[in-house]
Amino acid sequence: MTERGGDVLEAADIVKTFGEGETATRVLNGVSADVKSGEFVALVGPSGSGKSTFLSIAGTLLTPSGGSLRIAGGNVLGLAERALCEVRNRHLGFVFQFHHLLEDFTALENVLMPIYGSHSRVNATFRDRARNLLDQVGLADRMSFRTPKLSGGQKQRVAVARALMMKPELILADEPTGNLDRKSSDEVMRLLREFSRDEGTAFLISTHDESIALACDRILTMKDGTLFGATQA
Amino acid sequence: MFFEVKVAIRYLGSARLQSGLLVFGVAVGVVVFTFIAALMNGLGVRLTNDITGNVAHVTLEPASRVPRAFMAVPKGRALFAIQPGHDVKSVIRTYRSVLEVAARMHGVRVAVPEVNGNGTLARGDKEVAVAVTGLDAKSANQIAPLGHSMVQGRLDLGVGNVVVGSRLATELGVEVGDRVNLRAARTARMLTGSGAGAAIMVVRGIFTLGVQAIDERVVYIELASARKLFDVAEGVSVIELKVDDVWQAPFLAERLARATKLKASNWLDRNARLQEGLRAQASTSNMIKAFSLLTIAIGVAGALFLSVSRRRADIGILRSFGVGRGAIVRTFVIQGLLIGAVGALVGVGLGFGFAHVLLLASMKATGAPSIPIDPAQGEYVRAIMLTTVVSAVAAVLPAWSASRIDPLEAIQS
Repeated sequence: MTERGGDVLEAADIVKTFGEGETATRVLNGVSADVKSGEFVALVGPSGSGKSTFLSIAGTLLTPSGGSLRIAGGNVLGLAERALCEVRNRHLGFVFQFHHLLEDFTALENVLMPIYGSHSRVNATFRDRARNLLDQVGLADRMSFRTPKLSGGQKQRVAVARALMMKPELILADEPTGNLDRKSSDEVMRLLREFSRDEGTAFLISTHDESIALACDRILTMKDGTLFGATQA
Repeated sequence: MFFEVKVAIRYLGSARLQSGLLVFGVAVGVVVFTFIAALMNGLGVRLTNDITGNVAHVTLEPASRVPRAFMAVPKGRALFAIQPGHDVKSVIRTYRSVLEVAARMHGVRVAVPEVNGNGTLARGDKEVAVAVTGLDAKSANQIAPLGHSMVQGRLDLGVGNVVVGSRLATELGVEVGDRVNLRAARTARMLTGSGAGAAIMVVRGIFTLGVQAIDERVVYIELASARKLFDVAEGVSVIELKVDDVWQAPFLAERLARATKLKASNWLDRNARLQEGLRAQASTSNMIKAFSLLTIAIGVAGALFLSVSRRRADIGILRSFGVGRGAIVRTFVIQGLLIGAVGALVGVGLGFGFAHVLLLASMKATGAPSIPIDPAQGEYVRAIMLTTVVSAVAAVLPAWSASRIDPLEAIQS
């Protein structure tokens, strides 16, 4: 576990090029950024600026073409697939624009899913934490509901609870409220803030929403694959 | 493994109609498997029983003797010819000790000493060549089920009695109670040179074993009458044996030959074409079963590929949590295994029922089925095991493709 104030994400000179030869497209041009433990950081920029690509690289779901990347103090570039799975399971959480819940499972089972990345069975402690998280996101009475029976806002709150299940040091959120109405959007952001404060979890949130960005501790602006400094919100 | 089992069951349960159809498809394949097994095995058993039920499984007889030249051959080679039919037929003089050896041998059910020979059976001007079997009246039923096969009269092998096959009786135009003249073949009569070699006998029974060669050629008389007819004062011509397992007959024949120094032949030697037929039948049966398993494999693999395609986003999100490729592979292989196991169980139930219904429907008035299906021979355990394994193996390819899904691509799509 990274100490409070320590870097949970250290990205230096990250380059990403898709394709080869004449069709090669450089999406990230040496992006360097870090996120400290418990920090609430917004990543803004126009569509196609490379925000999602950077988040994917930070989440070890995409391999950069160059640069270095450390998560929770450990270098993750060049790690084998199995080791990357472990990094994602232990240190990272994801919230996507679309909730991506598993429809065949209940809200509680969805929140418990990340457990299976590192444990073969769910014990009572994990179950209590999942219930507690669902309670905190206001879904105590919806735990046994299959996800198709939940509203869009409720689904995204389940996704937030799921991202927090393993007590990750960093949650990467790609347009987490992009698919929600204003009320639900505010509710989700309030929850993220609360968890950041209560659990010391750092958040790197990609967003187009100015009000969300302004509510963050720091704003990173990206344009044409380049990060243009950090603004203190 | 708990996670994989849980996800597999949930995925199968959530698409009930598709899973149900898939299980039914597997079950139909298993029905084909068990039906073919019950039919072909039943046919094999029936053919084997029909043949082995009426004949000896092992026959012991004296080894053929090659005449020796008595003149001295100081130089060169002696040239002589053996004229068939002019050699004196040997007998087993020590047959009692052979019977003791056979009785002690594990797997031998019964041993019957017989005096056999060729002869003619005549009534009036009509004369037919026959094979005469002389045996003890008490043993008359032990090699062929003569008692159950009597169509006229009864199996009475008293002195002066003869029991004949129905085709022979028709050919000669004899019925129960008729007198017939039984004569030993020329060679035997020449050798005896006496009144022995012919006897007036009374037909006491007519049988139909259903084997043409026996029904039209063989006559049964009492052992003492045969001794007199063929002038065999002591010993017997052959010893016929029945064994517990007909497929062990070649091995038992070999052991008996070693133990008794007699020539031993078994029923399989005399029915080489049956063996070929049974082998061809087994090959055909195995091919059909293999095709039914192949169909099951293709069905399971196809359905799971579709499932993988539908679950791309799920797989992507699970992988983003850190769920490894191995767990994804296991999840889909378990689905294949469950589909196979449930389908096999349903199929075995349906197959067993189907075989029984077919058996009952084909039952003739005599109580024998016209279709030689044997529901007990459906190879049900093998069907369950093979189907389960084949379904699990068929799931490996879709499972592997699921594990190769790029989580980011799946989530973004």
